[in-house]
Amino acid sequence: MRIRVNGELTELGGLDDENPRLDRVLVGLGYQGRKVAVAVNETFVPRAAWAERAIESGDRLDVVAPIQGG
Amino acid sequence: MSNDPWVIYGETLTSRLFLGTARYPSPKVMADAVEASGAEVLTVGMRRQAPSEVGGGSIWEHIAGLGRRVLPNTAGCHTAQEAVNLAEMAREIFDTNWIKLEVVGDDYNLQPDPYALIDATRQLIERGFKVFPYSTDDLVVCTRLRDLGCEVVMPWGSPIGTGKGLLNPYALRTLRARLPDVSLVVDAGIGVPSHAAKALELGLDGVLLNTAVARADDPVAMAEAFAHAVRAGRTAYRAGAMPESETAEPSTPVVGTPFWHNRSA
Repeated sequence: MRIRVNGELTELGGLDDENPRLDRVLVGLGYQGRKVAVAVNETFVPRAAWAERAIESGDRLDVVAPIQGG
Repeated sequence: MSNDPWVIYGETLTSRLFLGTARYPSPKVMADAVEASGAEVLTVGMRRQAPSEVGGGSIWEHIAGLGRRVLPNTAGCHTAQEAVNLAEMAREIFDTNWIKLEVVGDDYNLQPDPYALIDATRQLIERGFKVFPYSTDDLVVCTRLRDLGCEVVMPWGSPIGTGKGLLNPYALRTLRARLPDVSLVVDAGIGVPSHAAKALELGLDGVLLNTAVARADDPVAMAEAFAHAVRAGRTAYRAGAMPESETAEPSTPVVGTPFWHNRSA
């Protein structure tokens, strides 16, 4: 299954579900335990909802983290 | 004159300088500049990050270590919807409902889009955010932001990163006169400490700056200079300035001037 992660086309491997949940997708991408916030298809998904949120082929994930800013 | 607390959204601040955390030569210089500035509020951002970029040793770790209150921004957003979603992400990441709301309307001078700004402000206040809108100095836009519930409005001095100072002091003075109960923070365009002092002298409540400190030859010394300027400007405002005059008035008493002759006689 292919999704976009931060704008990059990404093949999701090792997930047996047809529509894996967002929390497992993030673990698969290497974000486990990281201080990040996530939007799916440009809409914020709270951390508390990650385990419920099914990810489908073609979905667009934005994974952001804190940086310096003005 | 010393007891001059500044309360915004229920928080009492003693420093009237908000400092950005970007563009410093190193994390160490940033930390020393924050210390020298006395700033209690630091602005931060968010960007897409790969897993390897998040966590240990990141610039965020250095910022968090400073123990200051953070004000996350929505820099780079071009629509109200983008800004609202990024604000939600900020609230979760930084665990604060404070948000510096930026919605770009023009990429050439990064001018805020007043329509999207008002739309996003309304949505964010409904969602429980404490909004710090980055705005132009337009009186009506700033008044609408106040009417929506903003306790703070942040008019620009000049476009972000230009260092041109206060391009329209008249507009800022007018905002002060018309919005006496709103905390007004000049955000963007401050280049040197005298610009910051001028903003406070005009009666604005604070300044937010970044590049003026971060891109100085010596950011730590410049941060200290800004701390002095902001204090000087605020103290001067509270002291009440003399009236300006079009003609000279001698400050030394005239009566008894020696060698005086009535030339016209």
